[in-house]
Amino acid sequence: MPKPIAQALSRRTATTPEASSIPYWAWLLPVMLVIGAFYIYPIIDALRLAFTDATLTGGAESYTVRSLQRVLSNPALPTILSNTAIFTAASVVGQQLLGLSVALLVVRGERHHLPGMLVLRTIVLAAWVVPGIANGVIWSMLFSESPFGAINGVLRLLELPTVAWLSNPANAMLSAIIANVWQGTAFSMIVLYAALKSVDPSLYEAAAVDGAPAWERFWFITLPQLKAAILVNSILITIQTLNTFDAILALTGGGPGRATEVLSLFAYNTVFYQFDLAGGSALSILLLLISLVLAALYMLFMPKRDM
Amino acid sequence: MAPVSLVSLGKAFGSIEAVRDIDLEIADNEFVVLVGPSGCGKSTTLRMIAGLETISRGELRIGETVVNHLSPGERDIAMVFQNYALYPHMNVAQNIAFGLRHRNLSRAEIKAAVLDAARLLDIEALLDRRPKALSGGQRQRVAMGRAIVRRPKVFLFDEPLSNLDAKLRAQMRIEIKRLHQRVPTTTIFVTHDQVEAMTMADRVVVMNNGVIEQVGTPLDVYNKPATRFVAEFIGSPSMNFFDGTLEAQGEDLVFRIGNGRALPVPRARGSAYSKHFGKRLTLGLRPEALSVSDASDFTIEVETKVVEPLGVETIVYFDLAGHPASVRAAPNRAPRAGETVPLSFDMTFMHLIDPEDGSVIPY
Ligand SMILES: Nc1ncnc2c1ncn2[C@@H]1O[C@H](COP(=O)(O)OP(=O)(O)O)[C@@H](O)[C@H]1O
Ligand SMILES: [Mg+2]
Repeated sequence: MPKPIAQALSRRTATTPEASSIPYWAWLLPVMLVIGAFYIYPIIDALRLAFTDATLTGGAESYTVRSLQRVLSNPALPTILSNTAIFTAASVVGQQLLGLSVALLVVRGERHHLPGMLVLRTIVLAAWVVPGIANGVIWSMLFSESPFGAINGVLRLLELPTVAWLSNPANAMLSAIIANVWQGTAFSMIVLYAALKSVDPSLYEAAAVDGAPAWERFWFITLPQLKAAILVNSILITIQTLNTFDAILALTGGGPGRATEVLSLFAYNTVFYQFDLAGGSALSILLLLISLVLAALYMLFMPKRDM
Repeated sequence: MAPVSLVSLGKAFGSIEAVRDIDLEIADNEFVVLVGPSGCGKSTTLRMIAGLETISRGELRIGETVVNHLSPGERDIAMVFQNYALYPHMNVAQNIAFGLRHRNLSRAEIKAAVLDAARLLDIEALLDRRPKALSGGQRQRVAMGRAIVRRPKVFLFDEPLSNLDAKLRAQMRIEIKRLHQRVPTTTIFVTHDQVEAMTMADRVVVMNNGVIEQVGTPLDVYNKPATRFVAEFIGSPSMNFFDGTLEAQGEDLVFRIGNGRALPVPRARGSAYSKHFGKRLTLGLRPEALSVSDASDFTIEVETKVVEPLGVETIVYFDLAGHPASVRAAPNRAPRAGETVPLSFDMTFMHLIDPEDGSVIPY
């Protein structure tokens, strides 16, 4: 062995015992610190606050379970939870279906070299970068029941009866869901578009040779191949929708009555309108628990091995 | 189990003509290999037969039926893809059974058919596995099982062996041949590997630049190539080519390489070649038509460049009159690189090529 290399090697081996004397968790310390400071600490603090009588106006706080009891026995809570469930489930299903349709359309268009596919993708994506508040404002103008309301204006032009989109409690939830799905579809579309693009095209050719018509190819090839993407997408949409309150705030403010008040908006109102920091903390812990349970449920269906 | 006819078949992608004027009659149960360099249009031709590419021109018949406008599923063909295209989310049994879904078979009948195919290919033990858990050779077998279970009219293979290592490739070559003997079915096999073409085909179809150069049995295309392309493409190491002129020497014809030695043309070729007398032509001689010896009257001394011992024989490379060339030698009598050795020419194996159009002058 040439001398310099031998020396270098012996120097390396000499440093090894030194390196291994550093405990392994030391290497994880930086990332644990960052996660701890910015993710874990706020959660623990919210958990702590839930067991106090803290208010937003300050003053001395003492530990009690009374705030928790008060929030959980609030007669509005069942309505709010059911609003949340409807809003979230409909958004997940709606965004998934619409996102998949647009993604299929774009992939198909690209395969046939149709012009304008990039433009279509960009337009759909544009909805996604609109902030939630602006989304609520845009849709409140579209749904407006004043003479200038865009959708009702079109209905009038077509001599169809107008709809009380926001003022009728029975329609308000549907309107909120439409607004949310419109904004979230872009995200689903991008996720599913990427997944569709990564499906081996020869699978479709093999299935065609095997005599499977188009709908069977979709059912037996596309859907199973998209399973993982659809599940991950569902987790992301669920969590995102559970946390959505800005769009609803701008669109309906949770009304009429409590018709569109979801858990995140309820927590927001509790803290910032009733100054009940302890109650709001309890509600956000509840929100976190719901998200965790749902995510765990989705994970159960995740394909175990790479398919 | 049906003949296949390709009549003036052509395919254009936009303004690019990938394949044109393909005329080919494939007999019932024949094993035909389409061979040619990458990009010559083999896959395009095969995919037109499968119905995976639309046919731009011409007519395609399977059996008595014109199938130009039938979907792949309606043509009763089966195809093995280069990457096997196994359904990743289905196990081997489901993969094989997929093509039987529209056959109105009972569960038991499907199971029996799958088992039958699996037994034929020796993959019974793998029926519960997902494709991910299979080796390349096993995937290859499953892909063949998926094709064979349907007992289609025609088998199509698109370079199915090119993802396997050399040893497995040689083994699968034999297995596909054996399978064809046991389940006789019209088979169209695409490869860029001339060894695969020679060893597997009943008939070889040599393609180049989107057209057929020659159709014939493996020995036909080897011994009587129709064009310089075929002469060069088939056989390894490749045929040697020497530019020169056809001249008269007394009663006989000779071929003069460059301005150097004149090699006697066999008398039997005289009448066939007499029209080309005096022309600039290319002499084609396979490496086995040369030998490292001074046994004959017309030997040429050359300096060897590279020597490749292959065990059964040794390939010796040299330059002659500016042309790179090679000769097969017996391993125990092979020269070393850099040696000067005498070469004998067996002109009974000669081909004369017209350099204008690349055609081999028939004899
Ligand atoms: N979908 C396509 N669009 C445009 N050109 C294509 C397409 N498929 C093949 N070609 C062209 O057609 C020619 C023949 O291709 P192919 O049949 O795949 O060759 P081979 O299988 O012999 O390697 C190539 O020049 C290739 O670039
Ligand atoms: Mg190819």
